[in-house]
Amino acid sequence: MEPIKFEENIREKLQERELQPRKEAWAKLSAQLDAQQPKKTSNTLLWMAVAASFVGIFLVTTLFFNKEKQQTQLVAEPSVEVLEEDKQNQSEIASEENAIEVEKEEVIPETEDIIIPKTEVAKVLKTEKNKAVQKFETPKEAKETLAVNEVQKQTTLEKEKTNQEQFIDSKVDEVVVAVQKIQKENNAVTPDEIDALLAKAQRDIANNRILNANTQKVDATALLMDVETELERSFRDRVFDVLGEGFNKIRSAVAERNN
Amino acid sequence: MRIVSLHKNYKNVIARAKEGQRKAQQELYELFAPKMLSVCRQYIKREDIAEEVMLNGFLKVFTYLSSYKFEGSFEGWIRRIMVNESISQLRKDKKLFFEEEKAIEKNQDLVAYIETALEVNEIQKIIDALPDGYKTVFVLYAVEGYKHSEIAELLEISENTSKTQLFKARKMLQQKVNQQNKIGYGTH
Repeated sequence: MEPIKFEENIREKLQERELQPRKEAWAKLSAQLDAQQPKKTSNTLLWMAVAASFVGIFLVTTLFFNKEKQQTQLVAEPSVEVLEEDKQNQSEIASEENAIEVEKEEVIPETEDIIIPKTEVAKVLKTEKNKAVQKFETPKEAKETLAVNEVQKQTTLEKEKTNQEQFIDSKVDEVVVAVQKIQKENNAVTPDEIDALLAKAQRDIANNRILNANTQKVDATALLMDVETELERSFRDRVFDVLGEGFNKIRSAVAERNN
Repeated sequence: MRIVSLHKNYKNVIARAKEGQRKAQQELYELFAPKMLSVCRQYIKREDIAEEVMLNGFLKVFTYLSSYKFEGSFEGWIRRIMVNESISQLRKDKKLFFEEEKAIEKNQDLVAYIETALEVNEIQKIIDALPDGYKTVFVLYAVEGYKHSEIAELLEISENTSKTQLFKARKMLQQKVNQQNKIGYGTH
Protein backbone atom coordinates (compact mmCIF):
# COMPACT_ATOMS: atom_id res chain seq x y z
CA MET A 1 0.00 0.00 0.00
CA GLU A 2 1.27 3.47 -0.91
CA PRO A 3 2.13 5.69 2.06
CA ILE A 4 -0.24 8.41 0.86
CA LYS A 5 -3.03 5.94 0.44
CA PHE A 6 -2.35 4.60 3.91
CA GLU A 7 -2.55 8.10 5.37
CA GLU A 8 -5.76 8.79 3.49
CA ASN A 9 -7.18 5.69 5.07
CA ILE A 10 -6.12 6.93 8.50
CA ARG A 11 -7.64 10.36 7.83
CA GLU A 12 -10.95 8.98 6.69
CA LYS A 13 -11.22 6.58 9.55
CA LEU A 14 -10.24 9.11 12.20
CA GLN A 15 -12.43 11.88 10.83
CA GLU A 16 -15.44 9.64 10.74
CA ARG A 17 -14.85 8.38 14.22
CA GLU A 18 -17.16 9.44 17.00
CA LEU A 19 -16.45 8.80 20.65
CA GLN A 20 -19.33 9.13 23.04
CA PRO A 21 -18.38 11.11 26.12
CA ARG A 22 -19.63 9.93 29.49
CA LYS A 23 -23.16 10.93 30.33
CA GLU A 24 -22.13 13.08 33.27
CA ALA A 25 -19.84 15.12 31.01
CA TRP A 26 -22.61 17.51 29.98
CA ALA A 27 -23.63 18.06 33.61
CA LYS A 28 -20.02 18.97 34.34
CA LEU A 29 -19.88 21.42 31.45
CA SER A 30 -23.26 22.86 32.39
CA ALA A 31 -21.99 23.45 35.94
CA GLN A 32 -18.92 25.17 34.52
CA LEU A 33 -21.14 27.35 32.32
CA ASP A 34 -23.26 28.18 35.39
CA ALA A 35 -20.12 29.19 37.21
CA GLN A 36 -19.36 31.55 34.33
CA GLN A 37 -22.91 32.87 34.25
CA PRO A 38 -22.83 35.00 37.45
CA LYS A 39 -20.05 37.04 35.87
CA LYS A 40 -22.23 37.59 32.87
CA THR A 41 -25.30 38.52 34.90
CA SER A 42 -23.31 40.94 37.01
CA ASN A 43 -22.07 42.48 33.80
CA THR A 44 -25.53 42.65 32.34
CA LEU A 45 -26.84 44.14 35.59
CA LEU A 46 -24.14 46.78 35.40
CA TRP A 47 -25.00 47.52 31.78
CA MET A 48 -28.69 47.63 32.64
CA ALA A 49 -27.95 50.11 35.41
CA VAL A 50 -25.94 52.24 33.01
CA ALA A 51 -28.69 52.04 30.40
CA ALA A 52 -31.34 52.91 33.00
CA SER A 53 -29.39 55.96 34.12
CA PHE A 54 -29.08 57.07 30.50
CA VAL A 55 -32.81 56.68 30.02
CA GLY A 56 -33.36 58.68 33.21
CA ILE A 57 -31.12 61.51 32.05
CA PHE A 58 -32.84 61.50 28.68
CA LEU A 59 -36.29 61.72 30.27
CA VAL A 60 -35.26 64.54 32.58
CA THR A 61 -33.72 66.54 29.74
CA THR A 62 -36.71 66.02 27.46
CA LEU A 63 -39.09 67.06 30.24
CA PHE A 64 -36.98 70.13 30.92
CA PHE A 65 -36.84 71.13 27.28
CA ASN A 66 -40.54 70.47 26.78
CA LYS A 67 -41.30 72.79 29.67
CA GLU A 68 -39.13 75.46 28.11
CA LYS A 69 -40.83 74.94 24.78
CA GLN A 70 -44.25 75.30 26.32
CA GLN A 71 -43.19 78.52 27.97
CA THR A 72 -41.85 79.93 24.75
CA GLN A 73 -44.93 78.78 22.91
CA LEU A 74 -47.12 80.67 25.39
CA VAL A 75 -45.24 83.78 24.47
CA ALA A 76 -44.89 83.13 20.78
CA GLU A 77 -48.42 81.98 19.97
CA PRO A 78 -50.23 85.31 20.15
CA SER A 79 -47.76 87.01 17.87
CA VAL A 80 -48.10 84.15 15.41
CA GLU A 81 -51.85 84.55 15.48
CA VAL A 82 -51.53 88.25 15.01
CA LEU A 83 -49.26 87.72 12.06
CA GLU A 84 -51.63 85.20 10.53
CA GLU A 85 -54.62 87.44 11.02
CA ASP A 86 -52.59 90.27 9.68
CA LYS A 87 -51.82 88.30 6.59
CA GLN A 88 -55.48 87.60 6.06
CA ASN A 89 -56.34 91.22 6.58
CA GLN A 90 -53.56 92.32 4.34
CA SER A 91 -54.84 90.13 1.58
CA GLU A 92 -58.35 91.52 2.12
CA ILE A 93 -57.05 95.03 2.12
CA ALA A 94 -54.88 94.35 -0.88
CA SER A 95 -57.93 93.24 -2.81
CA GLU A 96 -59.73 96.36 -1.69
CA GLU A 97 -56.80 98.52 -2.63
CA ASN A 98 -56.71 96.93 -6.05
CA ALA A 99 -60.32 97.85 -6.50
CA ILE A 100 -59.55 101.36 -5.37
CA GLU A 101 -56.57 101.69 -7.65
CA VAL A 102 -58.71 100.92 -10.66
CA GLU A 103 -60.90 103.88 -9.78
CA LYS A 104 -57.90 105.96 -8.74
CA GLU A 105 -56.64 106.06 -12.31
CA GLU A 106 -59.69 108.04 -13.31
CA VAL A 107 -59.31 110.61 -10.57
CA ILE A 108 -55.56 110.87 -10.30
CA PRO A 109 -55.36 114.69 -10.09
CA GLU A 110 -57.78 114.80 -7.19
CA THR A 111 -56.09 112.17 -5.09
CA GLU A 112 -52.70 113.68 -5.67
CA ASP A 113 -53.99 116.98 -4.46
CA ILE A 114 -55.16 115.41 -1.26
CA ILE A 115 -52.07 113.36 -0.62
CA ILE A 116 -49.64 116.24 -0.83
CA PRO A 117 -51.18 118.44 1.87
CA LYS A 118 -51.76 115.39 4.08
CA THR A 119 -48.19 114.20 3.97
CA GLU A 120 -47.16 117.76 4.66
CA VAL A 121 -49.45 117.73 7.65
CA ALA A 122 -47.79 114.58 8.91
CA LYS A 123 -44.37 116.20 8.58
CA VAL A 124 -45.55 119.27 10.37
CA LEU A 125 -47.04 117.20 13.14
CA LYS A 126 -43.78 115.49 13.77
CA THR A 127 -41.79 118.68 13.88
CA GLU A 128 -44.54 120.36 15.89
CA LYS A 129 -44.60 123.48 13.82
CA ASN A 130 -48.27 124.02 14.37
CA LYS A 131 -48.34 127.71 13.62
CA ALA A 132 -46.83 127.26 10.17
CA VAL A 133 -49.46 124.69 9.41
CA GLN A 134 -52.22 127.06 10.38
CA LYS A 135 -50.87 129.68 7.98
CA PHE A 136 -51.20 127.77 4.73
CA GLU A 137 -53.83 125.18 5.55
CA THR A 138 -57.56 125.58 5.18
CA PRO A 139 -59.64 126.25 8.29
CA LYS A 140 -60.88 122.66 8.19
CA GLU A 141 -57.42 121.30 8.21
CA ALA A 142 -56.43 123.74 10.89
CA LYS A 143 -59.07 122.27 13.12
CA GLU A 144 -57.67 118.85 12.50
CA THR A 145 -54.20 119.97 13.39
CA LEU A 146 -55.56 121.59 16.53
CA ALA A 147 -57.14 118.33 17.53
CA VAL A 148 -53.90 116.52 16.84
CA ASN A 149 -52.01 119.22 18.68
CA GLU A 150 -53.83 118.31 21.83
CA VAL A 151 -52.85 114.74 21.42
CA GLN A 152 -49.31 115.81 20.76
CA LYS A 153 -49.25 117.96 23.84
CA GLN A 154 -50.52 115.18 26.03
CA THR A 155 -47.83 112.81 24.84
CA THR A 156 -45.04 115.36 24.95
CA LEU A 157 -46.03 116.29 28.46
CA GLU A 158 -45.66 112.69 29.58
CA LYS A 159 -42.48 111.72 27.79
CA GLU A 160 -40.35 112.40 24.84
CA LYS A 161 -41.72 111.14 21.60
CA THR A 162 -40.52 107.58 21.19
CA ASN A 163 -40.09 105.61 18.04
CA GLN A 164 -43.27 103.80 18.89
CA GLU A 165 -45.17 107.05 18.93
CA GLN A 166 -43.67 108.06 15.64
CA PHE A 167 -44.72 104.78 14.17
CA ILE A 168 -48.25 105.23 15.52
CA ASP A 169 -48.42 108.73 14.11
CA SER A 170 -47.27 107.60 10.73
CA LYS A 171 -49.95 104.94 10.86
CA VAL A 172 -52.53 107.51 11.82
CA ASP A 173 -51.56 109.56 8.80
CA GLU A 174 -51.66 106.52 6.60
CA VAL A 175 -55.15 105.65 7.67
CA VAL A 176 -56.34 109.21 7.33
CA VAL A 177 -54.95 109.41 3.80
CA ALA A 178 -56.50 106.10 2.86
CA VAL A 179 -59.90 107.05 4.25
CA GLN A 180 -59.86 110.39 2.52
CA LYS A 181 -58.84 108.74 -0.69
CA ILE A 182 -61.78 106.38 -0.50
CA GLN A 183 -64.03 109.23 0.45
CA LYS A 184 -63.01 111.29 -2.53
CA GLU A 185 -63.45 108.43 -4.88
CA ASN A 186 -66.72 107.08 -3.63
CA ASN A 187 -68.15 110.18 -1.95
CA ALA A 188 -68.90 107.93 0.99
CA VAL A 189 -66.91 105.64 3.22
CA THR A 190 -68.50 102.51 4.55
CA PRO A 191 -67.88 101.61 8.18
CA ASP A 192 -66.50 98.23 7.03
CA GLU A 193 -63.79 99.89 4.99
CA ILE A 194 -62.79 102.07 7.89
CA ASP A 195 -62.84 99.14 10.25
CA ALA A 196 -60.59 97.16 7.90
CA LEU A 197 -58.11 100.01 7.64
CA LEU A 198 -58.14 100.62 11.36
CA ALA A 199 -57.72 96.95 12.15
CA LYS A 200 -54.75 96.74 9.82
CA ALA A 201 -53.11 99.79 11.30
CA GLN A 202 -53.75 98.59 14.84
CA ARG A 203 -52.16 95.26 14.12
CA ASP A 204 -49.17 96.92 12.53
CA ILE A 205 -48.71 98.99 15.62
CA ALA A 206 -49.20 96.02 17.93
CA ASN A 207 -46.62 94.05 15.96
CA ASN A 208 -44.23 96.94 15.96
CA ARG A 209 -44.63 97.31 19.68
CA ILE A 210 -44.19 93.65 20.53
CA LEU A 211 -41.59 92.72 17.97
CA ASN A 212 -38.31 94.49 18.19
CA ALA A 213 -37.57 95.53 14.63
CA ASN A 214 -33.83 94.96 14.93
CA THR A 215 -33.76 91.60 16.68
CA GLN A 216 -37.12 90.24 15.50
CA LYS A 217 -37.66 88.99 19.04
CA VAL A 218 -40.77 89.23 21.14
CA ASP A 219 -40.47 91.94 23.75
CA ALA A 220 -42.07 90.57 26.92
CA THR A 221 -42.55 93.95 28.56
CA ALA A 222 -44.09 95.30 25.38
CA LEU A 223 -46.48 92.38 25.37
CA LEU A 224 -47.52 93.15 28.93
CA MET A 225 -47.87 96.78 28.07
CA ASP A 226 -50.05 95.79 25.16
CA VAL A 227 -52.61 94.42 27.58
CA GLU A 228 -52.73 97.77 29.32
CA THR A 229 -53.25 99.76 26.15
CA GLU A 230 -56.98 99.66 26.67
CA LEU A 231 -56.46 101.82 29.69
CA GLU A 232 -54.86 104.45 27.51
CA ARG A 233 -56.52 106.42 24.84
CA SER A 234 -57.18 104.03 22.04
CA PHE A 235 -55.65 104.26 18.64
CA ARG A 236 -59.07 104.36 17.10
CA ASP A 237 -59.95 107.49 19.00
CA ARG A 238 -56.85 109.19 17.81
CA VAL A 239 -57.61 108.32 14.21
CA PHE A 240 -61.07 109.74 14.54
CA ASP A 241 -59.51 112.83 16.01
CA VAL A 242 -57.27 113.28 13.01
CA LEU A 243 -59.94 112.45 10.48
CA GLY A 244 -62.07 115.24 11.87
CA GLU A 245 -63.87 116.84 8.96
CA GLY A 246 -64.30 113.67 6.96
CA PHE A 247 -66.77 112.35 9.46
CA ASN A 248 -69.13 114.95 10.67
CA LYS A 249 -70.63 112.97 13.45
CA ILE A 250 -67.39 111.63 14.73
CA ARG A 251 -65.74 114.99 14.45
CA SER A 252 -68.43 116.71 16.43
CA ALA A 253 -68.32 114.01 19.04
CA VAL A 254 -64.56 114.20 19.27
CA ALA A 255 -64.61 117.96 19.20
CA GLU A 256 -67.06 118.02 22.02
CA ARG A 257 -64.95 115.72 24.05
CA ASN A 258 -61.77 117.60 23.29
CA ASN A 259 -63.35 120.86 24.13
CA MET B 1 -30.57 10.64 10.60
CA ARG B 2 -31.15 12.82 13.62
CA ILE B 3 -27.77 14.41 13.14
CA VAL B 4 -28.54 15.16 9.49
CA SER B 5 -31.80 16.89 10.34
CA LEU B 6 -30.07 18.82 13.12
CA HIS B 7 -27.32 19.91 10.73
CA LYS B 8 -29.88 21.53 8.50
CA ASN B 9 -31.04 24.04 11.04
CA TYR B 10 -28.23 24.28 13.53
CA LYS B 11 -27.66 27.89 12.49
CA ASN B 12 -30.74 28.68 14.47
CA VAL B 13 -29.41 26.64 17.37
CA ILE B 14 -26.10 28.53 17.21
CA ALA B 15 -27.97 31.82 17.30
CA ARG B 16 -29.86 30.76 20.39
CA ALA B 17 -26.71 29.41 22.01
CA LYS B 18 -25.09 32.79 21.34
CA GLU B 19 -27.78 34.34 23.51
CA GLY B 20 -26.68 32.00 26.27
CA GLN B 21 -29.65 29.65 26.05
CA ARG B 22 -28.57 26.51 27.87
CA LYS B 23 -30.85 24.21 25.90
CA ALA B 24 -29.37 25.37 22.61
CA GLN B 25 -25.87 24.94 24.04
CA GLN B 26 -26.76 21.41 25.05
CA GLU B 27 -28.06 20.72 21.56
CA LEU B 28 -24.78 21.87 20.04
CA TYR B 29 -22.83 19.88 22.59
CA GLU B 30 -24.74 16.70 21.87
CA LEU B 31 -24.34 17.28 18.16
CA PHE B 32 -20.58 17.82 18.15
CA ALA B 33 -19.21 16.27 21.35
CA PRO B 34 -18.63 12.73 19.96
CA LYS B 35 -16.65 14.06 17.00
CA MET B 36 -14.71 16.48 19.15
CA LEU B 37 -13.85 13.86 21.71
CA SER B 38 -12.45 11.87 18.82
CA VAL B 39 -10.34 14.88 17.79
CA CYS B 40 -8.94 15.30 21.29
CA ARG B 41 -8.37 11.60 21.59
CA GLN B 42 -6.04 11.72 18.57
CA TYR B 43 -3.56 13.75 20.58
CA ILE B 44 -4.29 12.57 24.11
CA LYS B 45 -3.94 8.94 24.99
CA ARG B 46 -5.91 8.94 28.23
CA GLU B 47 -9.60 9.04 27.50
CA ASP B 48 -10.60 10.80 30.73
CA ILE B 49 -8.08 13.58 30.03
CA ALA B 50 -9.23 13.74 26.40
CA GLU B 51 -12.78 14.21 27.66
CA GLU B 52 -11.63 16.89 30.07
CA VAL B 53 -9.90 18.68 27.23
CA MET B 54 -13.02 18.40 25.09
CA LEU B 55 -15.15 19.92 27.87
CA ASN B 56 -12.70 22.79 28.27
CA GLY B 57 -12.89 23.20 24.50
CA PHE B 58 -16.69 23.44 24.64
CA LEU B 59 -16.47 25.94 27.46
CA LYS B 60 -14.38 28.10 25.14
CA VAL B 61 -16.76 27.47 22.25
CA PHE B 62 -19.69 28.81 24.25
CA THR B 63 -17.69 31.65 25.76
CA TYR B 64 -16.45 32.89 22.39
CA LEU B 65 -19.49 31.91 20.35
CA SER B 66 -20.26 35.57 19.71
CA SER B 67 -17.03 35.84 17.71
CA TYR B 68 -18.25 33.14 15.31
CA LYS B 69 -19.75 35.09 12.39
CA PHE B 70 -21.12 32.14 10.40
CA GLU B 71 -18.15 32.38 8.07
CA GLY B 72 -16.81 28.93 7.25
CA SER B 73 -18.09 25.73 8.75
CA PHE B 74 -19.06 25.74 12.38
CA GLU B 75 -17.61 22.27 12.79
CA GLY B 76 -14.26 23.48 11.47
CA TRP B 77 -14.35 26.37 13.94
CA ILE B 78 -15.02 24.08 16.91
CA ARG B 79 -12.44 21.60 15.65
CA ARG B 80 -9.72 24.23 15.68
CA ILE B 81 -10.59 25.14 19.23
CA MET B 82 -10.35 21.44 20.19
CA VAL B 83 -6.96 21.07 18.47
CA ASN B 84 -5.61 24.15 20.26
CA GLU B 85 -6.99 22.92 23.57
CA SER B 86 -5.37 19.51 23.06
CA ILE B 87 -2.00 21.06 22.30
CA SER B 88 -2.32 23.30 25.34
CA GLN B 89 -2.93 20.21 27.44
CA LEU B 90 0.14 18.45 26.00
CA ARG B 91 2.21 21.54 26.73
CA LYS B 92 0.84 21.72 30.25
CA ASP B 93 1.83 18.10 30.80
CA LYS B 94 5.26 18.91 29.30
CA LYS B 95 4.84 16.20 26.72
CA LEU B 96 5.85 18.21 23.71
CA PHE B 97 9.55 18.06 22.94
CA PHE B 98 10.88 18.92 19.56
CA GLU B 99 14.51 18.59 18.68
CA GLU B 100 15.68 21.04 16.07
CA GLU B 101 16.85 18.78 13.31
CA LYS B 102 18.50 19.10 9.95
CA ALA B 103 16.57 18.82 6.70
CA ILE B 104 15.57 15.32 5.73
CA GLU B 105 17.71 13.61 3.22
CA LYS B 106 15.77 13.10 0.03
CA ASN B 107 17.00 9.55 -0.44
CA GLN B 108 15.24 8.41 2.67
CA ASP B 109 12.08 7.32 0.90
CA LEU B 110 9.38 5.63 2.80
CA VAL B 111 8.91 1.92 2.32
CA ALA B 112 5.46 0.89 1.21
CA TYR B 113 3.06 -0.25 3.85
CA ILE B 114 1.99 -3.83 3.90
CA GLU B 115 -1.34 -4.05 2.13
CA THR B 116 -3.86 -3.70 4.86
CA ALA B 117 -6.89 -1.65 5.81
CA LEU B 118 -6.56 -0.96 9.51
CA GLU B 119 -9.58 -0.54 11.69
CA VAL B 120 -9.86 2.80 13.45
CA ASN B 121 -9.06 1.28 16.83
CA GLU B 122 -5.88 -0.23 15.43
CA ILE B 123 -4.94 3.10 13.84
CA GLN B 124 -5.43 4.86 17.16
CA LYS B 125 -3.35 2.25 18.91
CA ILE B 126 -0.47 2.78 16.49
CA ILE B 127 -0.72 6.55 16.77
CA ASP B 128 -0.85 6.32 20.55
CA ALA B 129 2.44 4.47 20.44
CA LEU B 130 4.18 7.40 18.75
CA PRO B 131 6.05 9.98 20.86
CA ASP B 132 3.80 13.00 21.47
CA GLY B 133 5.92 15.30 19.30
CA TYR B 134 5.78 12.98 16.28
CA LYS B 135 2.15 12.14 16.89
CA THR B 136 1.05 15.77 17.12
CA VAL B 137 2.77 16.82 13.91
CA PHE B 138 1.54 13.71 12.10
CA VAL B 139 -2.10 14.12 13.16
CA LEU B 140 -2.06 17.85 12.42
CA TYR B 141 -0.62 17.23 8.99
CA ALA B 142 -2.17 13.95 7.86
CA VAL B 143 -5.55 14.05 9.61
CA GLU B 144 -6.36 17.73 10.17
CA GLY B 145 -4.73 18.90 6.92
CA TYR B 146 -2.58 21.65 8.45
CA LYS B 147 0.35 23.00 6.41
CA HIS B 148 3.88 22.90 7.80
CA SER B 149 3.79 26.68 8.21
CA GLU B 150 0.62 26.41 10.29
CA ILE B 151 2.01 23.57 12.38
CA ALA B 152 5.21 25.54 12.96
CA GLU B 153 3.23 28.51 14.20
CA LEU B 154 0.92 26.44 16.35
CA LEU B 155 3.66 24.43 18.02
CA GLU B 156 6.14 27.31 18.06
CA ILE B 157 8.72 25.37 16.10
CA SER B 158 10.44 25.95 12.78
CA GLU B 159 8.90 24.66 9.58
CA ASN B 160 11.93 22.47 9.13
CA THR B 161 11.37 20.83 12.49
CA SER B 162 7.76 20.23 11.52
CA LYS B 163 8.93 18.48 8.35
CA THR B 164 11.49 16.28 10.10
CA GLN B 165 8.98 15.42 12.82
CA LEU B 166 6.53 14.32 10.17
CA PHE B 167 9.13 12.26 8.38
CA LYS B 168 10.17 10.52 11.56
CA ALA B 169 6.55 9.97 12.55
CA ARG B 170 5.81 8.36 9.20
CA LYS B 171 8.84 6.11 9.45
CA MET B 172 7.93 4.96 12.90
CA LEU B 173 4.32 4.48 11.91
CA GLN B 174 5.37 2.35 8.98
CA GLN B 175 7.46 0.17 11.15
CA LYS B 176 4.65 -0.23 13.66
CA VAL B 177 2.04 -1.02 11.02
CA ASN B 178 4.23 -3.57 9.38
CA GLN B 179 5.14 -5.02 12.75
CA GLN B 180 1.47 -5.25 13.75
CA ASN B 181 0.60 -6.91 10.49
CA LYS B 182 3.32 -9.48 11.01
CA ILE B 183 1.97 -10.16 14.49
CA GLY B 184 -1.51 -10.25 13.08
CA TYR B 185 -0.53 -12.73 10.42
CA GLY B 186 1.33 -14.70 12.98
CA THR B 187 -1.68 -15.10 15.20
CA HIS B 188 -3.83 -16.31 12.34
